[in-house]
Amino acid sequence: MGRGRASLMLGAPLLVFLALPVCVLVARTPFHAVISELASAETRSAIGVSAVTSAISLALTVAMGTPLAYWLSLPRASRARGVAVAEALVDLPTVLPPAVAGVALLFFLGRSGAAGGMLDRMGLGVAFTPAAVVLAQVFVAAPYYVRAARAGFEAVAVEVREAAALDGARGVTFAWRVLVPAAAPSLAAGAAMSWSRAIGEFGATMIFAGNLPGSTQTVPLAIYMGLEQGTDRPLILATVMIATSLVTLGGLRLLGGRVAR
Amino acid sequence: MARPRRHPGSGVAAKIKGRPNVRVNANPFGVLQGVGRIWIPYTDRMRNLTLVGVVLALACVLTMGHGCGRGKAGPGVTVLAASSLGDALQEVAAAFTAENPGVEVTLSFGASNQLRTQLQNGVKADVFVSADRRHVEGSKRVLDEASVRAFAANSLAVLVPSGNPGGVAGFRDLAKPGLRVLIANKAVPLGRATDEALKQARESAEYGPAFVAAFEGNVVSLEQSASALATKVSMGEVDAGIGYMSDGASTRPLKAIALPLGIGQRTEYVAAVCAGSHDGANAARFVAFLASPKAAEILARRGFEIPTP
Repeated sequence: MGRGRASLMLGAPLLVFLALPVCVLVARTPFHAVISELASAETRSAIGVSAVTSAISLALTVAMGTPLAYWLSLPRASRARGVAVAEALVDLPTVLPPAVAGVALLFFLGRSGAAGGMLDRMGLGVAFTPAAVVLAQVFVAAPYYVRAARAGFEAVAVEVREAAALDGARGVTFAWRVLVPAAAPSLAAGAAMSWSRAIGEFGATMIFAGNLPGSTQTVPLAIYMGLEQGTDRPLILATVMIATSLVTLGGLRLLGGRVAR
Repeated sequence: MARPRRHPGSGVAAKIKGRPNVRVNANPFGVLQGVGRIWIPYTDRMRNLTLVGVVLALACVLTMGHGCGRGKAGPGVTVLAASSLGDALQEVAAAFTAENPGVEVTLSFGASNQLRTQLQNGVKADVFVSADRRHVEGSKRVLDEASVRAFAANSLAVLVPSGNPGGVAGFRDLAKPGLRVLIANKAVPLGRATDEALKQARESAEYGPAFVAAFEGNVVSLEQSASALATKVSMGEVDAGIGYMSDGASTRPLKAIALPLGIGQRTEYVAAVCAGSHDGANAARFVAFLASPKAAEILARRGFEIPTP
């Protein structure tokens, strides 16, 4: 009759439901074929496209998301309306279906799109290029980083801020020398979350970037396309993604331990 | 199990404290004790109401999952259909319902290969309409073999958006440098047919391997269904795509140009009743209707070819 036993009994089916499909998938993966499959050109190109695009999208997210998160975290006397709007805009992609994100990106940056038409005439059309994969990833994944970074900045103690101000740290110096190091675990956790979301991106990519092996076909797209061909590739790629996610989650937990002190 | 005061220190516990716990042990839903305490003001009557609500909700969920799997009452057929049939099949379905009042047709479109996967994994459906006989032959276990029937055909075409931004006049232009072209993924019937056509072009004296290599260099994406491809072409996102002649007769703003003689074969639409159909009679009626003169008239108007019996 331990404490919380009733809640565990109510919650256990969910726990089992969350775990079993993944376990079954891994169990069905033919591990003897992993090496040969990972050596095949198609698999390597999908992993390569995913690795390169997600690295670039993460770099873009951190480069622009950090200042945005800092601005959102600035202490304000009253809730400014602009901040509320910005908050809503940042949160929006996390609740949009990815297919909607893909169509929106196509309408905006596609050749017949609002901004895309102009870019296309300058020879900078992005739809159906690796750049589109990156943009789709930034669109759906950046909010996770901005949220975490903002929370991290806001959690930096008033004493730390005041001490830094007394020592004359202001503006960029303050942000770079004091806030970023103090919020580093949150920034790293946000980056890991954002990267995981980016690497799993599927719907927006398929619509906005298309599906061309070696160019825009990421691991999730290769899994989807491979399902139809009855090979081992989707299972092996799925297991690779599960392993990657587990490593990321493990890293997050380590960070979490540090954040919670 | 149902111990009183399980939330020491919380505001909830403070309120519970003053309440007599006489009936607690008589409650058969001991597991739900905590739930009642957290959710509702603390009168026994209201807690019982909550329990009734939970049981009713569960009952609803269970019945829905069981009896109303198709989400509607009355007779009806669920049709899994190749995406290229799109508007045309919607019109055919409406005509079918007009002739068979009360028999609703639910259409589920997708690439034939994906629909076959759904069928083999137990999707509830009454009729399967494939754009490739192979997917019907490969699903014999889940189809009623005697019902298999070919009712229409289609030909490959070069699709260009209505503005024709790439200045594409025909198949030969698809190798022009700098063009952006869509084809379908090889697993899809359209993609398979396109692959065959490219093989023919590679072996032909007129086009040859250099043409095909240049063409393949222009391909920007392998799309996952015929309808996704036609939509992207009609949006003007690419200069051209290889789709079906029927796409040119659809409501999308695009033009279909026939492929040259000797390049590309006809694709065949084949329908069959699913073995697990809940309404086999209406399913068979629908398949028969697909081959009727009325359906043939609609399909022909929408750019499909009708085989002569």
